[in-house]
Amino acid sequence: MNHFGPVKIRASKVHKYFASTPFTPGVNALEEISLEVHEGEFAALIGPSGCGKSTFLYIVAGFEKATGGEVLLDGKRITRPGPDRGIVFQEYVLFPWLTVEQNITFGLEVQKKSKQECAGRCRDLLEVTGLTGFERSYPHMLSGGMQQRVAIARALAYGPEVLLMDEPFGALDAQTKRRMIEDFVRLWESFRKTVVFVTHSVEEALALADTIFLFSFRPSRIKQVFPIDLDRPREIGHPGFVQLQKEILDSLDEEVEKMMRLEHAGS
Amino acid sequence: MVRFLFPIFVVLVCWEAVSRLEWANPILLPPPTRIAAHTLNLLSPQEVGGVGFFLERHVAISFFRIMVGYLIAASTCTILGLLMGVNKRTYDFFNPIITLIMPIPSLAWVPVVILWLGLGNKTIIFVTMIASIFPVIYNSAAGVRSMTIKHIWAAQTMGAGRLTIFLKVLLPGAMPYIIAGHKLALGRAWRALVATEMVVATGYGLGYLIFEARTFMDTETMYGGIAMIALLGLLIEKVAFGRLERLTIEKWGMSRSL
Repeated sequence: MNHFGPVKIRASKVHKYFASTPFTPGVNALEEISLEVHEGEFAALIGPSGCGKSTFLYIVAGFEKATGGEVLLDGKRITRPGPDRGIVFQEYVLFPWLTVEQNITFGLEVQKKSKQECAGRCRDLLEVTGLTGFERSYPHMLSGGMQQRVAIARALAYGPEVLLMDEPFGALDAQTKRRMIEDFVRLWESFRKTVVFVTHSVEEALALADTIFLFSFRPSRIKQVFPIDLDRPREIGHPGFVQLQKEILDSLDEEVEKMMRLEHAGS
Repeated sequence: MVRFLFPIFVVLVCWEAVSRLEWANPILLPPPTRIAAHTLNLLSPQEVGGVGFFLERHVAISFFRIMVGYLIAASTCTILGLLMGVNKRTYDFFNPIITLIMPIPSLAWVPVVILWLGLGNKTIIFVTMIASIFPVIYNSAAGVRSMTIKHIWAAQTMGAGRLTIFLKVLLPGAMPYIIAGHKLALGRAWRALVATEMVVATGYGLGYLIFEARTFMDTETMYGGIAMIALLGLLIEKVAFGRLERLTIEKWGMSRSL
């Protein structure tokens, strides 16, 4: 259907059960998640909060282990975190003790790249993310949007195959968020890396993704897959956009409804 | 600076008045000005009742003992604490042992340590070391656990191994707690030091000075010795730790400066 490369990430029947702790009962987070993301594809995972989409992302990242099924990256089973992936969190998770420049080059230095390569790569990334002039600043001096730009640059710096993003714009105010999405679309179009992007905003997913995977409420499955064949940059008011938005929102609302009912019964 | 000194100044003025007006026995509570003058005199060699009171030497020896004891504890126990914060097996092994030993006052060890190491520097240093251990371990471990796991995840994703994560993520990330732990450790070390010096009378050290002066009812020397302890503590807190904090956690925005 689309112009993507071969399968990059293949998840088959991924199941995740969180055992009970003294503070929380056991939870069946993921029932059975199977999906494929191709090389160069921008995939968004969307679903009601608590549906396990972040958990799934963490399994792809290698932070969490699936209790069933497996995830393959380039045909190899994912068992641990590694530099073939880049991660961006909602809370930025920069290293506050390092400058912007040192944060960005952390991965390159860990992988023993030369000083020149670090500096050059850093300069390019500062440029494309609009951070030039801030290289010696510490993260706490920057706004949330700027910190997230650093986090994106840090995740791209060492050239991962896949970029994993966990609600990266979720903590930003509305204007900053819109601007970040615009900038990120432009940035992504320049490198076209495989991206797996978790969000609960349909608008965000529609603005960015080639494919939207809708997670059901937990124990979750992939409820629906929406291929988005709109040209970028996408306009929020565009008829095709609005129609898809309505379709996805309706489907999502059913799941949110289930979540509300369950929480109501619980309390 | 003025904000810091003003309350102290008020207390000293009241003390001076109470003593000068003889509301309190000026031998038991000499006025601060006289204590200060006397302490300055102690800086030059003289004989008092056959005992040489050379303040500099007492200070230097006490300082040497506390630094050796504290630094041994600080270097090893920071590492142990960080490991306990990140590794469950290390935590499970050391936590019961530490929990059991921690409530024992450092001074309770003195008689035993005297038997092991004799009446001398080694015993005093050993006791200051014991006193320093616990706040360093507990705070380093707590510092690691206060960090979000996502910092470690981010580093792992970028290809960092265990040693890199330990040195470049855990150590700086736990820094606010580590510094607080080291301050507490030095405070405890001072207390243990002075008390041990009183028991293990080696002829030198501020604890020894204070205790010996009592024999001659030389209260001015006693107060002078106490004041030296306070001043040295203050100096370490403000100069050494103050500088360290400005260069690390305040610069990194991990701690507010007041």
